[in-house]
Amino acid sequence: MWARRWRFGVLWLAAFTVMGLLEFTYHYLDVLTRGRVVLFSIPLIEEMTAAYGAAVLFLPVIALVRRARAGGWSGWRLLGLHAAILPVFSAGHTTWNLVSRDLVFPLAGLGPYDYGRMPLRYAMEFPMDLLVFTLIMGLAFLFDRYRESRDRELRLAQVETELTRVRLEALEGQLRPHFLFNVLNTISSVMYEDVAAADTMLMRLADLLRRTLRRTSGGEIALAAELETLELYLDIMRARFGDRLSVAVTTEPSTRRAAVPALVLQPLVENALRHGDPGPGMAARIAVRARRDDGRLVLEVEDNGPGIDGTPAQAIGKGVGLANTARRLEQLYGTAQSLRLENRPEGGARVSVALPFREAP
Amino acid sequence: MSGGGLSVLIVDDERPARAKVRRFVAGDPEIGTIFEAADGVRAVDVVREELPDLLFLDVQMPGLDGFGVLEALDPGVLPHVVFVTAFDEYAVRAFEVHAVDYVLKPFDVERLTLALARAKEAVGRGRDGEDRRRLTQLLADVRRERPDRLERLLVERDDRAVLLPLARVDHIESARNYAVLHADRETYRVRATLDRLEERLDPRRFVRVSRSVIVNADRVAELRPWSHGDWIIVLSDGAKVKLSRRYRSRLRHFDP
Repeated sequence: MWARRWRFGVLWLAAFTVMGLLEFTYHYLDVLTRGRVVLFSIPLIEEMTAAYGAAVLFLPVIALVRRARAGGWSGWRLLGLHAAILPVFSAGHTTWNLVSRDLVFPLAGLGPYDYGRMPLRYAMEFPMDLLVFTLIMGLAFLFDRYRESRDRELRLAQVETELTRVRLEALEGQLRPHFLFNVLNTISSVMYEDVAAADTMLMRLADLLRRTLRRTSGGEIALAAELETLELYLDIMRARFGDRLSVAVTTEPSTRRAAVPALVLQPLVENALRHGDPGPGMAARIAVRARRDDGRLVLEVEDNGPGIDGTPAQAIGKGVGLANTARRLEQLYGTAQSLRLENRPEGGARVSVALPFREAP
Repeated sequence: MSGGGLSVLIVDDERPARAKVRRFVAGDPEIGTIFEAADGVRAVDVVREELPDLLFLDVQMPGLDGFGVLEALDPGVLPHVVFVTAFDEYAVRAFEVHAVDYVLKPFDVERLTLALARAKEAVGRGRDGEDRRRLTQLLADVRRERPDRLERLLVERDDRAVLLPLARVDHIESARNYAVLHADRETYRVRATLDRLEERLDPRRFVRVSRSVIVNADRVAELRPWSHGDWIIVLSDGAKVKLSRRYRSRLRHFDP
């Protein structure tokens, strides 16, 4: 930050030094051309005090204009602001010239400074100040516009990176290596006992993977199709856990054509299986329900496990599946959706997802 | 060693996965009795009762997971352990670091053979302590780096084994050979000294406040100065415990 300020200060002073020297060259050559004899230090001091005065005066002017732009000023309003500042700037500049030269001339051994009749001076300096003012403010405006567009591009790039990260996470979540390797292990074991059953499991797994990969684009599908995918998953889980797992799916017929985000149910059921273990020797009982409630589609997944500890927000943060689902729903539906996690009075936990009810295309 | 050969316990929540290991080890003439357990709590029971020589232990199980099983066991009865996991990068790295045997699912017969050969050798050598030391270090690592993996404690209540989530525990006090856990206005026991239990708990949450009491810092409602530099801690369930002046340095754990 300070390095940037320093660099800016040096460049700013250099620019006005160059401007002052150009003015001096013009002024001094004009004197020589006319064959007059003047000490070169007189026009030099005059032009340099004028240039450095402008360098200082422009800083608050630019700061003021920037604040106005940040406050939403533009077009005629902004132009009007410039027009209002200009006479003040010019008067200030001329006054500065008088005061600074009154101080510097005696110091340089040139005696008292004579700036002539001041009312005329103010008028005489105005056209020159108008040109310089237009030039500097124009450049400042262009510079700010350039920086704003660069910042916007940077922000855009950041948003895109974030989006890619979310997509990648979704993909990893869907491939679920833990699930995949466990299923492969189950199949490799069942193969010794029942070749036909192993074959069926392999087909189910292939089907499930195909559906998962097809839906990675993250769009919506009809609830009926989502339930088919869930059924494939449950078939595999039943083969793995046998009668230790019982799942009941109940849906109101009118909900089957409702649009839902693809693969919304499976993470909820997985989460119920992972955290909803009812304890040694007891079967995990999962209930999946879909119903219509006013203009909303409500999906519920219940388990008969120990329920949640701490606040629902903490529990959602802990279950990777739930946190991902919550984020995805937020991205898709904003405030029109909700994901709630609560303990059921009769024991176990319930996750309910509510979405705007819409029919799938 | 019991009976005619090495006794083995296979722990996995999935029957086909247990069947696969069983089929494999049953073919080995040096293997004697084979036990199975479908969850962590059952596994702890079987180890305590049958004292198997060798344990095939699935890492991820609902309820008490593989690490939780070992935590619940007395180091004295720890069998030789071969961990089993489908996919757990953290666990696999920990097994590598501590040179603890593991096999990946789906089981590769070569790896299983190698693990079994090493296990037989280790068991044949007798319990020289090296094996146990590795396991103890592994568990210490898991405790330190993944406190969330050990969120439940296997405890007893009315002579029944119960999995108690640590988040529910208000405070713990020692009573002879047992530690008594107070949670939701009920009490549970675990057969362990307070020293050993303290080692197993997340030190950021569970704070020893005297020789005989550990409190859950999240449940501290009030601190009152008492006499001679002692403090009284009032817990959110209303219980009051003393923080003795020798443990005064622990007060900083209760800063909000």
